[in-house]
Formats: sequence, C-alpha cells, structure tokens
Amino acid sequence: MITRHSLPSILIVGGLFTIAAVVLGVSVGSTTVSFATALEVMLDHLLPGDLDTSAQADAIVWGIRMPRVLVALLAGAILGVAGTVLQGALRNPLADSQLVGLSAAASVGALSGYWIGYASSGSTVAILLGAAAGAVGAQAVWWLARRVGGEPTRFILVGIGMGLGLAALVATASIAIHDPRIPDVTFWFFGGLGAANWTVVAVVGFFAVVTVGGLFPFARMLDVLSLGHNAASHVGLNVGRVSAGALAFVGLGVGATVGAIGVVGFVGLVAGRVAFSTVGPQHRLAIPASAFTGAIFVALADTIGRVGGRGFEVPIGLITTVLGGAYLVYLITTRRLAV
Amino acid sequence: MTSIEVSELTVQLKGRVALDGIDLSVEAGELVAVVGPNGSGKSTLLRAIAGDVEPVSGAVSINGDPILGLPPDTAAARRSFLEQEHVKIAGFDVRSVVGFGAYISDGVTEPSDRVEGAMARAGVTDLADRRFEELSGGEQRRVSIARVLCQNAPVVLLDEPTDSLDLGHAHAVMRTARDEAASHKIVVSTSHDLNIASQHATRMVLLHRGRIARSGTPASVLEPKLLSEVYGVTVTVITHPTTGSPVVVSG
Amino acid sequence: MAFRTAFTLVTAAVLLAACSAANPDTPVTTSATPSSTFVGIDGVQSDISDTSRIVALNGDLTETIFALGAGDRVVGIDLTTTYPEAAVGLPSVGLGRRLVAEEVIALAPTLVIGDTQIEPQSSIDQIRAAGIPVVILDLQVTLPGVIRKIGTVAGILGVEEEGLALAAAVQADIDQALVVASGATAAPRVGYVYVRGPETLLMFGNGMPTHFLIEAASGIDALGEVGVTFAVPLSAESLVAAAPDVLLTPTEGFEIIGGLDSFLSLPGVSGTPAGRTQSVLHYDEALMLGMGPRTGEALMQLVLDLHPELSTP
Repeated sequence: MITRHSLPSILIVGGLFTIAAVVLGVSVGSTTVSFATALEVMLDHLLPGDLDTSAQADAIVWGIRMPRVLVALLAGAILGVAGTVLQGALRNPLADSQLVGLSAAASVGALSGYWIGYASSGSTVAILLGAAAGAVGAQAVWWLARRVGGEPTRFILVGIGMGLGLAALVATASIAIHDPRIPDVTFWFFGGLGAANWTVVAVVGFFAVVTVGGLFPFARMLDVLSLGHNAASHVGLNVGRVSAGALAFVGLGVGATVGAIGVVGFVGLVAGRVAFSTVGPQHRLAIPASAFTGAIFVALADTIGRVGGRGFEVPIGLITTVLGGAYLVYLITTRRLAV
Repeated sequence: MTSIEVSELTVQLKGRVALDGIDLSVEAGELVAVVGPNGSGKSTLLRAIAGDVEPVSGAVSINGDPILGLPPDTAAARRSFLEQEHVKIAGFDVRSVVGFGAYISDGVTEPSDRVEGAMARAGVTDLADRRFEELSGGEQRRVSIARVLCQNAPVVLLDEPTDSLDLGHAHAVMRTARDEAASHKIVVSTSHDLNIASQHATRMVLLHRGRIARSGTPASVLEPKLLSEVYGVTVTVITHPTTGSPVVVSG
Repeated sequence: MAFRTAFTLVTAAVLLAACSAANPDTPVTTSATPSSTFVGIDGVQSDISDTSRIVALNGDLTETIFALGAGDRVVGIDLTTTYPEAAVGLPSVGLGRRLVAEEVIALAPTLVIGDTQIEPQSSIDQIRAAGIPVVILDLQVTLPGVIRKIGTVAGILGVEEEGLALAAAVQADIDQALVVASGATAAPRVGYVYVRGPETLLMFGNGMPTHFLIEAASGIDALGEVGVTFAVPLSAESLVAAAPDVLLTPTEGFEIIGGLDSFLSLPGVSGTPAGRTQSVLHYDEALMLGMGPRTGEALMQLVLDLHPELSTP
C-alpha cells in the first residue's frame, strides 16, 4: 500500500515536530528558566540584532541545553535511519543497531578513542574511532547475516549474543582501567548526553549529513531488496554490493553516535517501524521519516530524563529501552509484527 | 536472434553430480518444458542457464555470450527468472512488486505502461492495489510471474510456475508463456505436471538423473515405456479428446 | 528529489558548523596581570581577580573560607558542607562529585572552587565555557597538607594575613594534640570502615586522611598495614586479617544502617578484636575526613578516645 504522503510533506511535518522538540528540550533542565527567557535567548542567537538576556540564562540555555538537544536530535536521526536501513537490508523487522550487536562493536572503538584522545579533543577522537569501528562492525554483521541465511530469529539471537559479549568486554575495560578520561559503565549501556557541547554538535552533525545523505540514494535499491536476495539479484540488483554499501554507512553513523552519546538502544527499531507504518514501505519516504522520528524520540527521551530536575538525570538509553521495549511488546501482541 | 546454447554442462551440488554433460540448444519462439522426477536436475539446469551456478565443466551462453560471471544488471537484461521458493514481501502492494521487475530500466523508460501491461498479461490487474503479503499463495505466484514479465528480458526462465495454481490459472499461465515465446522470446519452464506441459510446450526435455533422456515434441517425449522407466511407475499415454495432445495416465 | 534533500541537509550542516564556530568551548584564560590568575592542579589557569561571589564544591573548602573570615563571599555550597552553621543555609548545587553545571551557573558566581574529587570533567568544562573560572585544588590528606590548603585558599581570596593567622592557629591545635599523643603508652590497632548505607561499605587504608590521623594519634593503621590502599570495598577477610582493636566509622552512615548492632553484624566485624569488644567509635564525617580548619580538634578527640588513660580525671 503506497500512501499519499510525499517527501515535501514529510519534511515539513518532521521539521515542525523537530522545532517543537527543540523548544521543549531547551525549556527543561536542572534549574528553572522561564519559558519566555528561554525563547528570548534562542531568538537572540538565531536572529540578527541583540536582545538583552542575562549571562546565566544565556550560558544555560544556549551553552548547555541547546547543544544537548541538538546532539540528541542529530544522533537520533542517525539511529532512526540506521534502524530503517537495517530492517530493509537484513530483511528483518526487528533489526536495530543495538540488537544486532553493531553498537557494541562501535563502542570498542569509542572506548579506545576516549582513552587516547580525550585530553586533546574531548569526545572527537572517540566519535571518529567509534565511526571507524562501526563501519568495520557493519561488515561483520553482513557476513553474519549471510551465514545465518534467511532466519530472522536466529540472526537476532546471534546478534544479541555478540552484542552482549562485546558490551561486557567494554564495560569491564571501563571499570578496570578506571580512568576519568573514559566514560563510566552507564555510558556504555545506557548512553549519556552530559558532555554535549557545540563541538560535538558539529562532529555529530557532519556524520548525520554523511549517513542520511549517503543512505538516501540507496532507497530504490533497498525497496527491490524486499524481493529476497535471489529475486533481487535476478532483476539486476547487486545484492552484495548494495547491502555492504548501505551497512557501511549505517555502521559509520551508528559508530559516531556511540562515541558521542554512548549506546542508546531501540531507537532504530521504534523509528523504523513507526516510519514504515506511517508513510509506507518505500525507503524514499521511510528514510527521512525515520530520521525525524528517531531525532524526536531521542530528544524527547532526553527531556523526560531531565524532568526529575535538581541534577537527577535518568540515562537516556534507559528511557528509550523502556519505551521501545513496551512498543515492541505492543507490536507483537497486536500482531503488527510477524515474528 | 535470441538463443540459448548449453554445451557439455556438468554441475556438482553438495558432492553429487546434479547435471551430467547436458547439451541443449534453444531458439527464439520456443517454449521448452523441462520435466523429470524429483532430483533429476530440473531446477539446477534452470539456474545454470540463469548463470547462478558454476559448472564443473561445460558452458552456457545466451545470444552467444557466456552467462556465468556477468554483473547482475547485465545478466538481468539477458534473462528473467521466476524462483521456485515463495518469498515473503512485506509492505509493498502488487503494482510496486511487479514494478521491481523493471529495476534495470528505472528512469530510462517510463515503466508504468510496462507494469500495467505485465499485470494484464499475468491476469493480476484486479489485484494491483492489494498488499502482496495479504494475497493467497496462488495469487502471489501470479504476481511474481507478472514481475518476471515486466522485466521484459528475451529469455524467460520459470521454475515451477504453476505451483499453487488451480487448473484455470495454471492453464492461463502456460498460455501466457506460450504467447511470450511467440513474440520472439525464449521461455524455459520446469514442470511437475506432464500434462499441462505437453498441452502448451513447443518442446519437452525429459531429465533423468542429470542427463537428458529425450528431447523433442511432447508426443515424442511422452512415450509410455520411457516414462515408466524414468519415473518408476507404470504409465499409459492416451490422446486428449479435444486438443489431440498426449495425456499421461499413471498407475 | 534527492538533490533537494541533499541540499537541505548540506545547508543544515553548514549552519550547525557556523554555530559551532561561533561558540567555541575554550577554558577561560585571562589577560589580567599575573597575580590575579591561579593555575590549578589540572593545569588550567583561572582568572581570580573577582572573588566576590564564590561557589565552594567541597565542605572543607567552605569551612576554610568561612574560617578565613570570607564567608560572606560564599553564594553556593554543595551537599558535603555541614559546617559552619552559617554555611549550611546557603543554596546548594547538589553533590560536587556529581556536578551539574546548570546549578552552578544559575547562582551567577565569579569563582568556583573545588578539589580533584569534583566530577564529571564535562560539567567543569561547561561552567568554564560560560565564562566562570573554576579552580581545582589538589586533594590534601596529610597534616602538613591542611596547612598548605589554608595558605592556598587564602592566597586565592587575597586574605594572606588572615591565612597566616588561621594556619598558625590550626597548627597550634595539631601540635597540642600531638603532644598529648606522645604520652600514650599503647598503640592500638585502628581500622576505618566507611559506611554510607547498606550498599556502600568501604575500607580506608594507606593514603587516606584517616591513615595520617590514626598514625598521628599514636595508633596503628591496621588496614593500611595489611595492604589496603586508598578506599576499597569492604572485605571480611582483610578486616579479620587486620585484626583492629578499634573500629572508626562516620556518624552519618553509622546511624543510617541502624547503629551499633547493625555495625557489628557487618561482614568480618565480629571476627575482629574490635567487634568482640564492641570498640566502635563514630565521628562526624566532615570533621574527620575533611582535613579542614578543625583538623586539630578532630585529632585531639581521636587521641583522647584511643588512649583513655590520657584523659585527665
């Protein structure tokens, strides 16, 4: 069923929701900043001219909250698109970067990046090494998928096993090395946005453009892939090259997010499924739709995590896992997901 | 002119010989039905013609060029293939699935006419807006055939096209195959059903343990003694009262 | 279609990059004269020309600032500040060891001061990016270190005279306690068990302030002797092997877990001489661990408690 949605309408609706998520995210925080003040600070920076805002409000809203919300949106967009493409390329409706072990593979690179590069660059080296490890991990995922064949459940089990194994390795390393340069265990299991700053926004933004921009041209090819590898090859698709290529971009993007915000699961699963059920099976529409869905999901999850206020922050991955897990159960019990 | 040339083709699968020194030439306008017992090598032969299996010796060429090792898009321009297995296709409607057949022509030609035409030839126009995964097994099979037709390749390879189809639709499919062949294409189809094959095919090839037992007109291939030997069951051949084509009665 | 999307994405990326360039995250460096800057233990040079509004992230630093007579400059404290009375009522930014930048920035301080226990680094960076200097001092755990700390803080605040006076007074307190301790006839084996709740049980050993206090009070740091270094999770084996005659613990944690009976049932305690004789002493956490201006007082208390024979009848 091809719905009547069009790409421009997705961009507009997505854009509006994104702006709403930004406004909401910037208004919530450890200290109380009035909504009007927050808005003032935003307009001061976005529009030419100078509004009179207090230095503290500016530092809090623009220096701390804004980069945090933007990193959440950008990372969420990458993770959302990653989920959609993984589900298409692996022909598996449950595919998600954390579930297939891709995030864990990337975290090995990210951890090394923090260890060697934190003093000089903060999280930048970690993001770059995470991206590299992710791209390599993606090839491993593809190889694994080919070996297991067409059985979705078995593949997910293997992915979970590999992912948990690597995650445990990374967690052990972060505890054993016990170095303030390396983020603690929570970061590797449930993510964290505390270190977001404008540099991180730029680096993650770059990877967001590369990932989403690089995957969009694969849209038609991913559509054809739904015929199954045999038939897709027979109608002329180079299945190996398309899958490896798409997964490389996915790995790169997911790896970068792991370096920036740690392992945040279920975003791809939720965004992919929501996008497909809203705009239909065409990747041309589902990719941008899932980019927006993922972005808003992560931004909202972060905002919810901060609502406790007074420095009490629920790690973002915890919220996405709880919400995503509930959504998954809902999908299965209402039979919207043939597993 | 379109042609398939199979020369001394030997294929091994999982350690055993699946095809043993096959020689076959097919010209445009032919509808070749490849028949034989289970495990005789029908699907393997089809896949070898498609370029999907690497032979131990011998070669297959289409229009004079070897088919093996061609990049997928080049191969797709030469031949289309209906797989034996039924695959789940999530989300897409019939029109989109049929349209996938025109993948290599995307953006070059205007495919919607082709899609509509293919759906009409396969008799699935009334299913155009339905979701593929909601169709019955037989309906899905016919949609897949439409997808193959939409690819518009000069060689059409069909592996058990009448699988899951009722009598009416099975004949309709074979008539479509015959029409395709008549329009200067080659159609090679495997079949379990000797009688449907004999009614529509211009030529039959009987495989037995990886070798060609006989190749020729349906009447010459469907010979009771040969069939009894190949299938291991007593077989009588009678003449169809209306069409005059040979009808195999077993037991 | 694809081109339009790509164009939108590239434009967005360029805008983001521009934003980033316009908001660099660099720690504050000063262009003022050298005497109004301070280089912390983290190597960062901070502008200390304005110390009129201070946020102190450690209880001992708050105490020190108040003892120097500059308590009126403190606008924010953290949860580890329990003394003096005047400080406790000030706005709290939460726990310094789990620092949230927003809380600090909202108080509009001109200087933030803390030690190496303050985490995470990203929060410190965020505060500096907001233009507020953050001075990180080395953590002091020895008795001479207490005096050094007073001098450092006084220097930052520009109250050198008061600093010298306070240092002299604290040194006198310490010396007095040491004199009394020198009269002790026995050297009891002492172990410090840190309790904060049923899940937080630690043993303090070499390198902790308690080690230096115990040794100065003519005791033997039993846990340090069996190899415990810094703070490690409580191990019944190590505790029994250390065989302390007396166990010390913070009052706050002692009460949280339910007092003496609960303490005696902690892993390993009943297997020690201290456990068998129920020799458990508890002290206010900030007093005993802070290494602040009241250190002399804490040391004297410990000396008298460990050597009852020294108390004048």
